[in-house]
Amino acid sequence: MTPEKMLLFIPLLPLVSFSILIFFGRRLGKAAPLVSLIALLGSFLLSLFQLWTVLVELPKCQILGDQPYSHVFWSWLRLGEHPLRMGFLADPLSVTMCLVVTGIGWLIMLYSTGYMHGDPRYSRFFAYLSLFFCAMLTLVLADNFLLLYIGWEGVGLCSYLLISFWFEKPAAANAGKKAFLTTRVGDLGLLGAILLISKLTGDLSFANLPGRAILLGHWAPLVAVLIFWGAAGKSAQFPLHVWLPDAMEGPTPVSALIHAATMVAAGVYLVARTLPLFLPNPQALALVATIGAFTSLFAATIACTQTDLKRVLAYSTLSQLGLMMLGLGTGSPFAGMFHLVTHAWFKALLFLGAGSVIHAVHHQEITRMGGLWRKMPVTAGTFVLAAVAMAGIPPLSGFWSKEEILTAVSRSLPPQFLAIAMTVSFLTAFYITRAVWLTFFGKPREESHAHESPAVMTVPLLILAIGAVAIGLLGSPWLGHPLQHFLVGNETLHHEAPHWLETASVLIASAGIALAFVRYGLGWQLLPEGLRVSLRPLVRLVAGKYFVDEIYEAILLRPVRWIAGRAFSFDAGVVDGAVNGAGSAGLSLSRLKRWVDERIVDGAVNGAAVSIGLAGGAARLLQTGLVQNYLLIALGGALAIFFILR
Amino acid sequence: MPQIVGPFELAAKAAFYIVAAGTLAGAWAAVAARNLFRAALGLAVALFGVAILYLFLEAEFLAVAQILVYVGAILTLLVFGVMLTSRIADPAVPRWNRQVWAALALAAVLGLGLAHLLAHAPWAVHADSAPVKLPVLGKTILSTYLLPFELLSVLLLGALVGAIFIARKDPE
Amino acid sequence: MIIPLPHVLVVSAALFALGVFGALSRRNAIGILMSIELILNSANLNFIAFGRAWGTTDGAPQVLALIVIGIAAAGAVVGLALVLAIYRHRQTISADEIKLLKG
Repeated sequence: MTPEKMLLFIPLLPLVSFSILIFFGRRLGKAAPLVSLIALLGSFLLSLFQLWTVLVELPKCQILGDQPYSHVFWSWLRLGEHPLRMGFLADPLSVTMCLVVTGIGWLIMLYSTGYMHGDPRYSRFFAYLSLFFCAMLTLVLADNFLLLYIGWEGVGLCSYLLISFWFEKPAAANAGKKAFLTTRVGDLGLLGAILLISKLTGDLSFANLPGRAILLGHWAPLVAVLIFWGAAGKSAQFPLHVWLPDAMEGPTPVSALIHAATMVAAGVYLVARTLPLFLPNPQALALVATIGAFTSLFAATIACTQTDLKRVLAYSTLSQLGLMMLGLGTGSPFAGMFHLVTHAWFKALLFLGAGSVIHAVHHQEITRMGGLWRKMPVTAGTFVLAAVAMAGIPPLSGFWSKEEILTAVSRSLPPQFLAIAMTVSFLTAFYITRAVWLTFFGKPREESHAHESPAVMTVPLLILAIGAVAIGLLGSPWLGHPLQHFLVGNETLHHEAPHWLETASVLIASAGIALAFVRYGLGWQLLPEGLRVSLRPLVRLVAGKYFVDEIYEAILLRPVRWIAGRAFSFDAGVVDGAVNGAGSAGLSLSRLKRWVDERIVDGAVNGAAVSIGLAGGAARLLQTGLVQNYLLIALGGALAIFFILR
Repeated sequence: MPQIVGPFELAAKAAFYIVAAGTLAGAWAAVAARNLFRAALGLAVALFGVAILYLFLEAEFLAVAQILVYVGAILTLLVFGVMLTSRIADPAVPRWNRQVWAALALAAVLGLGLAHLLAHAPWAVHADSAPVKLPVLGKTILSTYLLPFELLSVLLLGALVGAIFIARKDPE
Repeated sequence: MIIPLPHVLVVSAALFALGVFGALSRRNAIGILMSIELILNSANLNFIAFGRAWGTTDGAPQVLALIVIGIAAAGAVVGLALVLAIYRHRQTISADEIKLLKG
């Protein structure tokens, strides 16, 4: 068993777990999660091993994606002259993702054993989770576009299955549909890009992407944009962001895993992986950055107005993903990836904490909560830590990764982008503090018999908290930027953050926190009455998510539904008409046959009988009973015979 | 029959035709008369006429036998029957049945055909042979035609018994 | 024989035709019997005529005619007995009202 072959097992173990659980899950009952936990743990350990392998190889190799470190592949198809080779690749980028996915994923899975306790489809949940991990790991470890796309579709499917896990709720079922369909729109872009790459370069692997970019010629910008379109679908960038808030209908561990830490990060990973295709095209990069920035700001404003705890976190995720895209849009893969890693830790923690709260009070409205820190200290403590990390207060992780982005933005993009990023920072600090305060502090607004969650849920919280606090240090100057070196390889792509920027961002974050505390903690109104009233329509707009969903409904969904309705009635009319027609034709035919049978066949039979009767009746006339008649006939006959014989 | 020659020949022939006509007239009455009694009388005339014709044909015994049996017995019987059963002359009762015209046609064809046939057939006539004497007749009956004679008597017996049986009153 | 044979035969043919006519079309049963007697008589006449014309010596035609007369008598007897019996049951002797054998 070489290190390369072990790569296969990383996605394979969860697949085995899925197969076992889907068939025998019911019988295993409470023991079902053990299967998936063991499988995922195996994947995690194997990923660690791959990390070690890669680290060993690191000095020999150059930049990201150029040289496969650990690679297993096999021939799959022959397309023309190029055999299509599929395989798994372990390089710094993919190994990082593997560790994030399996590590955080394992903690979330452990948490779910407590959260989903008592659910009638308990084992099915873990089966779906295992399937998800298989697909996600395939996506991350793929060494070519096609295998990545397979994993891409797989995570889309699992997202659908898990969002609508409680499909008895119509909201959940619809949310699952919405997620699937919206990401599908994005997937078309990715598929288009793959087709173009295949047609124009004949090679779908990730090797030598810069060279491939040249081969694409004037198609390159289009390919890049199409790839980004796919990423925008999965990572919920504007305008394909609408599915993410609705996806909160799924169980909270699902929200934590898929919609915070891993799946939504797949888009970021994709762009990072294919960045060499973007780099020669400044327009494509600019598009990435612009959309990222816009989404980030857009979502942050909405997050300030939401009262559902999970919705706040959902829009927060949107906003942070926008920041990641913005980071990638500067041309630096590290900026986006670093934030992806830190975000995975603190966002997962935030969601799990929210889950803990929801599990305790059985609802999600922060306006009905308050003062929960007394009843749930561990949850509250870890939640606050995560919030502070996200706000970007040093030395917690969020600060370092956000700094990286801000630095890259300030260096590579026009100042407007930096301004937007700073505003987003401010808003992030504001809304998360708002959420924290209203949930955990102050006077309880409702009577609740909330209690701390069981250990199986709090222990992951604690472990994640450690990560949320410390992981950023891996990318910080205090340790000499080990993560940068690992991911990017050499010094040239990394720049030190200027001091003014660091100071500024700390101040802004603190200001956001302070403002939120003042408004919600002390209860002071921030704006004069008049201004508040005139701003109310604006607030309504923001709180209504800028009515994007409603616009989509009117422009897109209603016409599509109308067309579908027409198509359905046509189909029902034609197809059903044909079937019914065949049926009634058969009926008419049988009626005809019956008529024939009755009239003609029976008629013939009856007619034979009747004619015999008639003949008999006629013959009967001869039997008059009158002897004289007989005599007459006899004599007449004799006479006739006589004449004939004469 | 004594030889008939000369003017007797003509008279004889004329007599024959008259008798023949009378016979046929009687026969017609027997067939067509509404009054059954008259029909019976017509039959008597016809039978008599036939007897006389037998005389013309030199069968004297037969002529007598004819008169004795036919006219004397059978006709009497028929008259008895008429008296016992029918309303003698009821104008309302139709004389003919429904096939009268067919019967007329048939009879006409039959009669005319037969007449024509019989009249124009080349009969081998051995005329002028001696008439049969009665003893010879008696001998023939009781020798050559004994069987039919005896059978006839049996037949008459049977008819007698049968008639009595048929016509008796139902036993109460 | 002074009377030519065909003449006699014509007479007998006429008798026969009349008898047939009467037998076929008379309603009264006794009338029918009378007509049958006529038929028998015409046959007898034929016998005798031919006997005379062919000069038979043993008197066979006469014998035959006698026997026919005897048969005629028997027939008339039985016929009348039947007529009487029917008359007693049905009060009618019209031949066309007696059609029990109608099919």
